[in-house]
Amino acid sequence: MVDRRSISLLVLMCVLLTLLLVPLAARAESITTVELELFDTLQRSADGSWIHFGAGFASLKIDQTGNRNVRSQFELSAAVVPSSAGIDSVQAVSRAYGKFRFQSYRGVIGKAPFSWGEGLIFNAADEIFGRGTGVNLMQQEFDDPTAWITSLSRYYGPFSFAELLVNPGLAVVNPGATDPADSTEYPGIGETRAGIRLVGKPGGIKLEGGYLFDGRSSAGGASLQAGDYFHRLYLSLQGNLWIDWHLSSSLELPDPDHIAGSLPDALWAGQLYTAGVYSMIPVGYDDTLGFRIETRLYPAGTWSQVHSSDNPDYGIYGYSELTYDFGGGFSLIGRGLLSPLDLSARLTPGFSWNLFQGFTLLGFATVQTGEALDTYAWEAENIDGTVDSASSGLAVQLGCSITY
Amino acid sequence: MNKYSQKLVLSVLLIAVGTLVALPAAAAPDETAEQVIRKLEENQVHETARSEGKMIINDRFGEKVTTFKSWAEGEEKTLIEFTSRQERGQKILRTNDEIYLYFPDAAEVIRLQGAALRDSVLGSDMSYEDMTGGKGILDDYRAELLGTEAVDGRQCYKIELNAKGRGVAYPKEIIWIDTEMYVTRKVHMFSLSGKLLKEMRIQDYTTQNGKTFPVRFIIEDKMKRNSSTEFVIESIEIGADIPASRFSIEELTW
Repeated sequence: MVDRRSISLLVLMCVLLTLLLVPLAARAESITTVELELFDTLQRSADGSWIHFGAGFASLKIDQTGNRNVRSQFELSAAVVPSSAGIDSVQAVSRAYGKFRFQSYRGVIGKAPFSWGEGLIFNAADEIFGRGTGVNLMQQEFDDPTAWITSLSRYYGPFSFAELLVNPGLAVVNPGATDPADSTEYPGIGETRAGIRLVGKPGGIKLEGGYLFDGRSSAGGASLQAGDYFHRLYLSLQGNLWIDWHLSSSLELPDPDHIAGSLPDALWAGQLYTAGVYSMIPVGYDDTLGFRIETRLYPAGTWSQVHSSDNPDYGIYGYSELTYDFGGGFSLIGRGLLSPLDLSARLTPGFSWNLFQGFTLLGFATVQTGEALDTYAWEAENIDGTVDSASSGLAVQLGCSITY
Repeated sequence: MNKYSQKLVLSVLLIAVGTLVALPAAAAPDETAEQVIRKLEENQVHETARSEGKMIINDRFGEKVTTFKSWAEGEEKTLIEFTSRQERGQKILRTNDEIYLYFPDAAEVIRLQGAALRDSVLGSDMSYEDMTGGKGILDDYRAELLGTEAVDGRQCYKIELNAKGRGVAYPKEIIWIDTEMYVTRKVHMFSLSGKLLKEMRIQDYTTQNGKTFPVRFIIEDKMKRNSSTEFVIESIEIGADIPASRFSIEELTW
């Protein structure tokens, strides 16, 4: 029996071979980019032991450039981990999309980068695909959210447009199925997400509003049964008042048959707010100080410290980032995720040094300050009192990123 | 290159794109420093320009090259698209009093206003704010004509600029402006104590449609050994037909 890993490797080899065999004329229509991010990591586990491992991330990206009104991108990515069996990897097609434009219309289909609303870590307008409280801070750039979408946009002016979007449900692959016809289970139409957003800039403030019908939920900890669905509405604003700011709010309403309690209760439980400020300030002759502060407010969340459940959805979280760029490609970075209600934090100092063309040295450390059942625990425990071995309270990484 | 490093690169590109065009003018030996500065700033205004070029940063670790395409309309609209591999597809749109940065990997647009517009530019006496037409050199500096001096065989006005306040990158600058073409030939930038920090020299000009403008200049950091930034315009079309939609969110995110 050929396992999935072998199939993935075979697919990867075929793609690489195809690239080598592509005629020169066709190659001129595309651009290939390889990105590597490689780290050596020292980490203290929650049980007090230390582990030391190497790991990395690699991607091979092919952009089509032949037609001014058509763009497409195909990206293979792999999380690379050395193991006793050699270099192990987990491959994925992280992007595969095409887009076109005609006059003031634009269409996109495929697995594409996707971003609604405002906010780097906390974004009420994009809770489904956005980042959130568990984000890994030890990376040069945060992972970019992607989703399989089919969208059509119409532009109405320099800074205004409307977008219709559909996000189909996810197929379930059964590698052990004896009948090939049963190996893939396709989602029902009821699991589709579909929405619209409108973007404009009245009075100098960027205003974005949207609605999403959500046939399934991966946000808020809710689990849907067949036939359940959510309505999601959001409003997002961005402007400048001495410093740049953004504010987003969203309302999530279950379908009428599944509202727990009264409608006012559901309206209260479905509210979410995020806000942030950010700026870059010149310092001295070449240096730049950048800062960003964001917060996430969930009014119906838990507003006191609890140690009685896994991952309580606290009412407030915060994120802060401070970057000092010395102007010669060297930057110091400080990031922090804060859970004020259990007084725990994930703190990450680091540096980035662009030494050579396409080569950047990176170094990060992360320490978590909380108690055993806090959001960011030094030595995390599960609710049953056992050690959460997957958690780490302290980690140090040194590595590099290379693009060619 | 991270987003913050890239911002500095973009600053230099904005300056360079904004100083492409210089209109020839008749020499007037009895002009005041203020009149010369105003003519210099008038010469930086152009209706439209489309260009391709590169920026070469040299330091002790070697050479880094960033290539780009740009489109500009008047003082207030510029779109720059990176074409070098590390930054490919990243764009900056400057329009009126705001700047949009676009990062294609995340399909993310960052809008900057306020303090970011006052950010100093690498080796230049200008800021984002200057480039958006909000403020001129004479808003921030007192100008004094020191006389005339030859630079690379061209007669130039030698003008000393002293900052009126603390909100500028360099408290003092000396700028050499061609007495015939009203283009900058050389700039010295000083610290508060009077130490020379940077020198910018225009190395090459070209003439198109009867107009002369710089196409190569180099900025040397006098505080660091072997550190310089060279800017080269490889092709340019003044008066290019550029649709208004070029300076829009649609083009930025394409």
